[in-house]
Amino acid sequence: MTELLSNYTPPIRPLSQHINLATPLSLQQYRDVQGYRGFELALQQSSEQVLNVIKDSNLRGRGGAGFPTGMKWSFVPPANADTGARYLVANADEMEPGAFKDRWLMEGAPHQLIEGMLIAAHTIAATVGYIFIRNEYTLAAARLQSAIDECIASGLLGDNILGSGLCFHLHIHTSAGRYICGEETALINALEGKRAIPRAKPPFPQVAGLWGRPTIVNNVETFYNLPNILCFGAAWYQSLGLLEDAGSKIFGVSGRVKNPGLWELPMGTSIREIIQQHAQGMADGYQLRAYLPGGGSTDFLLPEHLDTAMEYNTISAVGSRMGTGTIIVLDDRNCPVDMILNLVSFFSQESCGWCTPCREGLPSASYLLRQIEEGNGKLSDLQYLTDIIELISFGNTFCALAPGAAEPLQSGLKFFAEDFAQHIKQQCCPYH
Amino acid sequence: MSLELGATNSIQTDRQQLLTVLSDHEKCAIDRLLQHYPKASGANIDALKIVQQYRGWVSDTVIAALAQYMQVPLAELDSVATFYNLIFRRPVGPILIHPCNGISCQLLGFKNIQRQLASQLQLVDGGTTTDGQLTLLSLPCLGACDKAPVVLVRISQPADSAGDAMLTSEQLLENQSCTKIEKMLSELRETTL
Repeated sequence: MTELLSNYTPPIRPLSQHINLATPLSLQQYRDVQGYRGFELALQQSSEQVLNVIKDSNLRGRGGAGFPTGMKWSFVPPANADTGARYLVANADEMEPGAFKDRWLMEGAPHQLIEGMLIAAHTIAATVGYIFIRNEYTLAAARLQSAIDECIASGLLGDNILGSGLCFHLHIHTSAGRYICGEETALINALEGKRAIPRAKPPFPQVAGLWGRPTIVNNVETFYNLPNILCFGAAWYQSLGLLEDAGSKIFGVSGRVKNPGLWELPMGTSIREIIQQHAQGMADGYQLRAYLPGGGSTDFLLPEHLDTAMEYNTISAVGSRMGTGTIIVLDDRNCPVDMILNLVSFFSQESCGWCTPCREGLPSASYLLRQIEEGNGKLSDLQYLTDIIELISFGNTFCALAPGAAEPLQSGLKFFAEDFAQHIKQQCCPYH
Repeated sequence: MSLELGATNSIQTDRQQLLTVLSDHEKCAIDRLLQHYPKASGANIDALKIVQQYRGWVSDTVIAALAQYMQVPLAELDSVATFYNLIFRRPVGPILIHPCNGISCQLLGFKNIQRQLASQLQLVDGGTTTDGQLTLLSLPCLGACDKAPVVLVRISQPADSAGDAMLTSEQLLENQSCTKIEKMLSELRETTL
């Protein structure tokens, strides 16, 4: 077992400690604060050893689904005699409504993403990497490009990295804009220059992904976890979490709160602490009505759920999802029907059109919600909406886009039944 | 028989004409791109973005010329061009105003901002002013939810040397209000006059 960085005190905020939005650390400055030490420690170990450390750490993907990272990597066939290209992709296509954490990380500490990708590249023997970044994140893309250039110039990217034999070439791909690109197989199609339509699984991308070769796609924040896991070990990483889940996480709050923003906090921090302490509670004159705990495609939760811990299983147990960990707060002066209309219209617009339930179901739901919001709703519309939710649920669609869109809709119909009824009875929006 | 010949000639003429659509600068940029991909079609999206950087938008003729130059099926390239939100298929102004219509921005006043922009510019969403200078197009969540409501302004200017791609600058305007929008529009008018 390789020596951990035992002479150094582990950071309290391993993901965000080096963030500097005004001027991110240069390569030299990042190295001065032990940057790329995690990667160097990884190079001293076999890929199998690194994989075991990541598995032991219990790191779960931070993009929304929460799949265990080590397990995902373990599906990649062993390199051995394989001489073909193997791909590693950072999913930086942050288009989930209400999510803004990856932009912050990439703008503030670009080298940490590259270091995380290098650790992953060593583990799965990837030869080529892509950072798939959304079009509007031009500052992040520019900062990442200069970080990549610095790494190429100093031998941290390219052939025979630091004399280790590892060859890894990293490129930035700027998206042409489409939410579905965040779905990993659709993202792979986009990288191949095609329409971003999800692929059937199996084969899984880990075995046959980009250009038919083994491919790993991880969320940006997932990569930010890796360097310190290598530096301070799986046990340390697990101890960061307050309850069952390991590590820390970037949590965020937007909406009518006093202090909207992002904070790195331990996994298991309560929603109450995030909204009331870090976001400093509701803005003056506004009451908390409900919130989406993990972005636009998660179920609403109510004030009575505030003491729930932000943990994958705990959030699921109360009927929602961790998602991206960025909370969207609904106040008492905004119309919940209008909020759901905004979300469903977004998902409807962004549907790739590949499978019928999503292509037909989401525009219908959006149309019905607009009718209700604009005062033309009928009581029977509520039954139609319920039918559509069933039509677009998991198992009926090709990917998770439509089932994600169903989450705020189904919980909204339940929690705001009275608001829906009022809209229909009064034939207008009571909030306007 | 003569009809068939005529049709064939017309296709050949079109093909000849297509060869002249792309500029040498564009062809050069696309050549560089093609080297990075195992298959030419891999460069589809980036090639469309390149011609858009030169022209502001991507017309049917440009797609046909691009398909011919890259030797990819026209239908495939056309289907890609119509799929992505930020490949513009009709002319847009050099000034693009993109209010964010994401949920966090809506909760903090996107609709007022959109209404203000639409009435001041006399445009519907997706429209371009009659002088062709300015396009209003709301975009989904721009990932700046803690600074909601936000408006992204992108300005393209002709390059210093003739034939080069346009230079694009952009600014993300944070915590917008109707007053701020009014100020921004009057500043834009001053700089473009």
